[in-house]
Amino acid sequence: MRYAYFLGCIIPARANSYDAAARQVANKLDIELIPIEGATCCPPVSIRSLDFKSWITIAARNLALVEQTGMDVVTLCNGCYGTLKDANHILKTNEQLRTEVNSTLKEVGLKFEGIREVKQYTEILCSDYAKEKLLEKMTRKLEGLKVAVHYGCHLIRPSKIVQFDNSEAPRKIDELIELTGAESIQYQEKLKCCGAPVLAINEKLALELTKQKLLSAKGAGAHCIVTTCPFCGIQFDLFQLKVEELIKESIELPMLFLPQLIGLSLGIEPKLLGLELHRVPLDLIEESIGFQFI
Amino acid sequence: MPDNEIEFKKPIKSSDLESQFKYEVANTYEGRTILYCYQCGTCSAGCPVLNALELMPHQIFRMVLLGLKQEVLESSTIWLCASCYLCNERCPQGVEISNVFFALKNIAAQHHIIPKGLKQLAENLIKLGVTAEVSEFQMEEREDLGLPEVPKVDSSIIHEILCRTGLNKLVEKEDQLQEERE
Repeated sequence: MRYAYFLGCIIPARANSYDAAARQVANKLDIELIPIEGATCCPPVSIRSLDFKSWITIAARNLALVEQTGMDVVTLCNGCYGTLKDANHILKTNEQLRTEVNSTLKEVGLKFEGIREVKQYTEILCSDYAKEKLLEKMTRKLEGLKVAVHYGCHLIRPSKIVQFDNSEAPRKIDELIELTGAESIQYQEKLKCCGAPVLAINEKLALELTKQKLLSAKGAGAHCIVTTCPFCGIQFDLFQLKVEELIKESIELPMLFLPQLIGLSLGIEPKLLGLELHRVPLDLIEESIGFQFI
Repeated sequence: MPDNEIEFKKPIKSSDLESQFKYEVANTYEGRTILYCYQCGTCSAGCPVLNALELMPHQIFRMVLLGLKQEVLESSTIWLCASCYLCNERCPQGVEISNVFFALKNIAAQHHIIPKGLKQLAENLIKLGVTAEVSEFQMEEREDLGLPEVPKVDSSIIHEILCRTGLNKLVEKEDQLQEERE
């Protein structure tokens, strides 16, 4: 199984542990991830907010590069996923926009054909293929670990375009987590935004949203919050320290990227999963599964 | 509430309305569903940033339909939308609310209203071809994790595309205006 691997900007710039864990797990599950030559920023919703045409043309350039690889593309970041999936959908269904975008791409020697699919890494992890492999290769049951799943907005919405799961009651990641022996808990703010999208506009508001999520998950008894998006992950880990400062109270709810959790169940060394790079101590996880990371 | 605490807002005069504004929005790809709004308020009911908004999403929509163009474009509300698409999912009329907000922000940007944080990201994309740059520290971190180098980006190609599509012009004009203001 091979995919063109879209890394995006934020992962190499801020969340290398996610990349490391994703590659380790893919390797265990016999999934090949091939880098895309010349791929650039997806670009994110912040660019879409300023100029739709610029946003969709840069996205189309990335998709045209994907098409040249002859493979479908997989992204790690929910933001890149949202952009590429939506742009692919728009350009496949709207001839006028496709023609307009292609006339610009022609100037840089590219063409969008609309022949490839966009997937998020989580979709592959939740596939029957990956689940079978996972059960076959799992070496550590994560029994005792209570997980608060955070899907992240752009993995599940807009559902008529991404079609990943039921947008009001998603279950796919919860099921995957239960496969590892861990328990996926319910919490009030499960479907809410992490706050990252408004960080560049209003930090106070972003931290308020992050606080609500973290306190809700912690209050429901979670030992960790698990996400599939680098933006959400940074918000829950790095910015948890800022939230703690703000409310003058410690939260200490560790964050894991989904492949890090899966990697632990596959017996991959914690160092190779980038666990040392997290800011919030991972004690709660270590204690609940009875395994020291360092 | 005692009488002296009531703040009376000025009535809206029909001569102040730009009734064509709704069509300006509806004629964009992102804004094409605006005319279906029937003011049920479902979007506002579920909005995660509601408490921080000076105007609620459904109020913004009513103002667009009325033609209060300047008030909408100058409202901080449109920039605080987290683009979480919760409202899109729930709108009984199929209004793509987050998308309409993109359309409104695009029009505001054309009127030279661009928040600083977003301008910075646009400048990064124009100059570097990426919105977030990988520092040397991060490159070392990647090496330690056994990760390969990040694929190289030819920023001149991105620059050329953005010159054609319009993002460059938006940012340059903003710089010019800022200089004039200073």
